Amino acid sequence: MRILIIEDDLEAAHYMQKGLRESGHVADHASDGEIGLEMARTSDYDVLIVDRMLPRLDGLTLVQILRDDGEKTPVLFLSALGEVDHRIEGLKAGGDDYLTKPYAFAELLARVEAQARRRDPDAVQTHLNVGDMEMDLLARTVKRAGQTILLQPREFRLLEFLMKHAGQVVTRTMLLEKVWDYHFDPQTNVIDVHVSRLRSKIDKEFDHPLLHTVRGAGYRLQA
Amino acid sequence: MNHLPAFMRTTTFRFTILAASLFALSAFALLAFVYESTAGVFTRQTDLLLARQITEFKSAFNKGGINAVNKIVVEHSTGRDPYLYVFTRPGGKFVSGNLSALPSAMPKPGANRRFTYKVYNPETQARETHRARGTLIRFPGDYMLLVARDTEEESALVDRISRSVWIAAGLVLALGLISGTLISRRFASRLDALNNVARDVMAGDLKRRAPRNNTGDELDELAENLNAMLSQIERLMAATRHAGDSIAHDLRSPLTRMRNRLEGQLRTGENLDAREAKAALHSTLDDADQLLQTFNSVLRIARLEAGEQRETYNAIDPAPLMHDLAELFEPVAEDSGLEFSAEIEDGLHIRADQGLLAQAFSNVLDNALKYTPKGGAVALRLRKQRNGKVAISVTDTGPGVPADKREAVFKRFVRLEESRTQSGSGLGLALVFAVAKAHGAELIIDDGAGDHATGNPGLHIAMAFPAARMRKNKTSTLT
Repeated sequence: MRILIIEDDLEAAHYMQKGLRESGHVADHASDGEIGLEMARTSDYDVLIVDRMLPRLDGLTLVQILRDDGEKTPVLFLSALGEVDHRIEGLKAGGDDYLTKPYAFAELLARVEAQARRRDPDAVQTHLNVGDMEMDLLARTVKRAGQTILLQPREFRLLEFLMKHAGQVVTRTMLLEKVWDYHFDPQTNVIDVHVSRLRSKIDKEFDHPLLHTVRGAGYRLQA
Repeated sequence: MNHLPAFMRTTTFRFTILAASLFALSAFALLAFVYESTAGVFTRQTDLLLARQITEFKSAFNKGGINAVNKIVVEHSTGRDPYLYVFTRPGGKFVSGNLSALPSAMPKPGANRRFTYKVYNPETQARETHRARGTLIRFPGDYMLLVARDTEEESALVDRISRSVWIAAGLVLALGLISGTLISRRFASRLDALNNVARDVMAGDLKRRAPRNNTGDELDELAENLNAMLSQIERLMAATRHAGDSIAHDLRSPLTRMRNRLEGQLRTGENLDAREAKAALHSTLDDADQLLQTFNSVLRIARLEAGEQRETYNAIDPAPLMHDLAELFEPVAEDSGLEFSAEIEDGLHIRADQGLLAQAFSNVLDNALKYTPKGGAVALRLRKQRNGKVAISVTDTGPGVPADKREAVFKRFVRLEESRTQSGSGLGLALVFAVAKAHGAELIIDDGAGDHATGNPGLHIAMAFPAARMRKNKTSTLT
């Protein structure tokens, strides 16, 4: 993936760049809003990582300009401003995700990779497939190896999210945000409990597991 | 304007001067009106009476010539009416009348004119100057007749009236100025007192308060509000200082731990063991995360306490939110060997922020699940109380909180000694408290559904919200 980091904190930017490169991505860096806008316009990137507070042109305005130009590249906002209002501002400006500083690198990586899939967000999917598991989004049914699996509504949503991001690491915070719509940390291992319940339904009676735990990061659904 | 005395620069002074001027102006208008309706009426009446006389004389002349005129003059001159007559023959010689001669400043024939003449007043035995109004009639043969009317009495009345009005206007103006000055001086001095308080506070004396005179007037109200504001600021500053102290206290130990660990690794120098170093880094990372979490919680509580988001609360039905929370925590309870129940009443409305509510009760549930021993029970309830308030509560069968420590657990960083072994920042319930306060909800903490005999009385934490009415055309959506 080609990723552009627009961030004025050089140390933070280089740390990100290094990490993303080690994960097999191409990562460019722009140190202020104007350079960032220029680079985003002239090169084709898969994801933009934009700091909110940038010299010369702030991140919100930058993304607004890009969106007004019809540029649809997914944008992940990075910001020290982490309240709900700030998040809403970021999403309104055209951001696709919002991550509050400081963040764990695993969280950033998972979110960046999750964005890559969204390049064609308008396509309507009715079926999801991972390995021998099949999800029918219209009939709201799940089958594995032809065997119907009964899920609670929330378990269905959880599995749907995991299947949409199959092969990618999905963090606990991402699940809380996208499946439960909670933007805080409930401290206890609630997500782990729900994931392990889902796992017992989809993996228990089958030879090879689909739902994997990624240590220190989260989960990954993979055939 | 700055060279003016302070009181003159006050708004009150300007208003008083304006009011006094307006008052004086209306006094002048009143004067004009009074003048018009007295002097004017008197003059018109005099002119009317004079016109009648002139007609009478003219018709007498037409019928009987000069002699007839003279006859009437003689008759009228003895009358008591305040009419003045002087009839002269050619050359100006006096013929008849009640005045010895034509007044020196005599009007020309034609129109009525004002003039003065001297008259002997038998009462005061002095000659007085009286005002009169009249006209000259010229008869053929150069005979002249002055017909006039003494207007002294009316004129004197008009004079008196206008003098009173002038005096009144002057008095109003003077009183206005004086009272304006006095009121403004008072106002300015009270304002100075308020300004002094503000200056002292700015200089750092947060204990200063504005003086009150308890009259309930606008300045008193301003002083009251200023004092309330200062108290709030003082309270917030104290809270900030307390938070700062607590943060310093609570952050110092993990920071020290982190520092020691890193330093210890560095000190090993050449003999650095990769496995050990990695473990140290992991622990350091965990500590850093814990620190950040504490830090975020403190910030969130501070924002809540500052009342930043208060205006955005809409009326919502908390039931869906509570169902969600129940669904989120029930499996956790089951895994911990606890019985979990949710009794949620639908169709109730409160003014609340969904996110904050979710966070607060997630903290309360988290606590309940963490501290309730295996085999216990945790219940989440949403229901309308008998007093009409809507209560959301969590009841458990855990160790509870002794009555004398209940207030303390809602303070920042307080964790009961026996729970120090559990992880957590000690900010969970402080956030719950801040959320309740931001919503104007009553926070109740009591024994739960446990049994005192077993040493686990349980804990019951409830937030009672004032019921809100739902706007008709607006439905709440839960995202």
